[in-house]
Amino acid sequence: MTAHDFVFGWQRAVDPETASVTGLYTVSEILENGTAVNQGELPVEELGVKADGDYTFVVTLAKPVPYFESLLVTMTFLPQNEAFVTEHGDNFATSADTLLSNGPFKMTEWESTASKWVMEKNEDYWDADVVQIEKITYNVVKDPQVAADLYEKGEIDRADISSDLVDQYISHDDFTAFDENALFYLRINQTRNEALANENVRAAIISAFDKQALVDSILNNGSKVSYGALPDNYSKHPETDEDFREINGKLADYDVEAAQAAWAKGLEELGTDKIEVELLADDNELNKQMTEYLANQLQKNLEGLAITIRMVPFEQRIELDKNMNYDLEITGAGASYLDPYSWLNHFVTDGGNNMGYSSERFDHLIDQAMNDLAMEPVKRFEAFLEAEKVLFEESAFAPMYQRAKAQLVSPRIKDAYAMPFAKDYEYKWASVTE
Amino acid sequence: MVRYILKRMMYMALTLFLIASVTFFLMKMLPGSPLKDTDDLTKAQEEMLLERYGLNDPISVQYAKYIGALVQGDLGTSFHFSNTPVTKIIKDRIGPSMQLGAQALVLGTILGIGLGLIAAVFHNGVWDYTSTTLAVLGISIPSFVFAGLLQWIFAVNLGWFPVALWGGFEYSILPTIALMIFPLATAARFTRTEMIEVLGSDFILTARAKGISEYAIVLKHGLRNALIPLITVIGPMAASLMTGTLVIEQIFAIPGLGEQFVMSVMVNDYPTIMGTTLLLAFLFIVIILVIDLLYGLIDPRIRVDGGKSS
Repeated sequence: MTAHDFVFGWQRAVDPETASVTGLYTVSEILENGTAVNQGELPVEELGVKADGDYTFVVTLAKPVPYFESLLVTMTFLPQNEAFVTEHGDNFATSADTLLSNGPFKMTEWESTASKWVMEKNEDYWDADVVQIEKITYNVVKDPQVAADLYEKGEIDRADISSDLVDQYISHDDFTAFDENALFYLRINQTRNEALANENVRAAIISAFDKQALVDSILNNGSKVSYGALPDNYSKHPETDEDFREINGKLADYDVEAAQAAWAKGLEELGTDKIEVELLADDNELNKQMTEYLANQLQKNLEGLAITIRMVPFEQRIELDKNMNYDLEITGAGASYLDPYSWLNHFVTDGGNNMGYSSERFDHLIDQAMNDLAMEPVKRFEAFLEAEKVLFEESAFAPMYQRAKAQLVSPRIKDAYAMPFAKDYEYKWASVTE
Repeated sequence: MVRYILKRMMYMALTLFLIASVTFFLMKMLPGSPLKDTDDLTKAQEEMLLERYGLNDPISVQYAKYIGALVQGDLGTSFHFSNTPVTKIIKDRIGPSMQLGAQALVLGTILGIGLGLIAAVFHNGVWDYTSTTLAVLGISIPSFVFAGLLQWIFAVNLGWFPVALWGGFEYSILPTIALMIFPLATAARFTRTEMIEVLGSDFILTARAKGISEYAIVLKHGLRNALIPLITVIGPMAASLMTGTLVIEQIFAIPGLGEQFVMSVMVNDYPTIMGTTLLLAFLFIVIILVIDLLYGLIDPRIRVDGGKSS
């Protein structure tokens, strides 16, 4: 591997022909000429990356990027061997034979149609001496009960436990649950339904449902109530080390009285006593209960509100979301790098929040944090704190919960870490004890 | 005979063409984008991809292109499984489905006929009621319940078979039993009804009067006549059994085609939807032809070329 592999990989990520879904938001935005190259205005050679000899990779950023290091672990920034990629063309990375790896493991068995794949220790890895696992086999098992049965029989070492199975396995010795990097919330579209353009109506909806009960009885898998745009333990104050979430506190909490007051005010402003809204969600088992619960809570606490539930397959929901053809929508978000910006970026005007949210105050604060304050960590952090508060002062959306993943994990597996972003697990230091 | 088969094949081609056309237009009416990761794509990227896959062309042009490629045996490339040709998806996935389907069909039909025969011979006796009850249960218990029960009893509790996943023959036993219950019950029901009717007819009475053994009467004279309606129902069942069943594949975590088919519809993967639909249609048509030819073999009174038999 040489510096040229990085140059090629990064150029390929930004190249508009590649149509990378992650290239635009990560690589292009931060590299010199990135956006121009991505929009086809400049050739890829003009991108701010070059190889200084075979072993020095030089990156020119478009602006200071405080979270640059955490970006580098995401797959878009990995090196690619030009000869190999060109040789395989459209088939690159479509099977174990057409992909290359230089990490602790390499894929030895995988087809795009497979429901089973295998990774084996990479003897050529620079740090191969510390890698203890010889082989990892993945099996796709769609039915969670079957996965749990396979686990009980000792056929597999780890199985995900779905919400409906938690009660059955929670007292199991091998049961664990960890917080995922995923926040679920209710999008409130301000552009389709006149009533939802009213800030008081939105404020009422945000605080009119009991999130604790939702997490305890419907999710029941260790998921936690979420109170803002960032989860717990994600970003720390650069000097005091205090948690972002702790400083800003509960920005959106369950409060029936406040909700009803805002609701009355909103109805008065709109000159009506009845509001009808549609609630959009993915068509799955969990959402059947979740949508029923939400509709019930909101209708009970906000008199005159009528909710119609609409559940559609994922692809269709995304289309409705993009076209802003919904009123309320259950959706989730995750972060791609270690910075508050990763959670906040889509709330800027036209940043892809798909709910018509646009705030000069918010935009200004984010712009400050990303440009003028980029080199002043404390002030930058404070700008993000302020920006998050603005979101809830303007009742942009309703946070619901941070998802947790419940699992059965064999105690013989040591040091396999679940990762907050970029990849699911790190097995480099993992070992199996008998 | 050859002329008949040729004529039938022409009709088959026409039928396939019609199915391909209707599916094509129905599929285009599915809501949602056929592209993957649409929530992360920009408008410009989406445009570029739609252009690349020819999805911006007028429907008539897309249709003409599709039929053109189809005639040359090209089913296209899946939108969702990283540039995988649809033929490869089918090839990689159909093995387990075919194996399970064939095992279930053969075993189910044989056992079903046996059960039906016993019921007919001991008409209104204990054996009849037992086998009829079994058949009714087999038809009415949904396969996911039955598969789940089998798995729970024989794999999870008794540990006789693997719980799930796909490997050697032992992995196919429980899914085969789960899958075979429906053809078994159907075969038993039809065999019983037909046999009771046939055994009561005049030529059987004649045979009995001639002193032919009961064994020969039931198997040679009776069963042969009862097979006609049975083949009519089992044949089409074979087509759907061999192309995989979502429920069984999910419960036993089998990498079959049934799951792929359902998934392709969910995500609007047009080429895969078309490919799998056509495969099912093709199998169906071929099986119907085979059945028609089999009729002649089983019952000489049925001749395919209009009575000019020699």
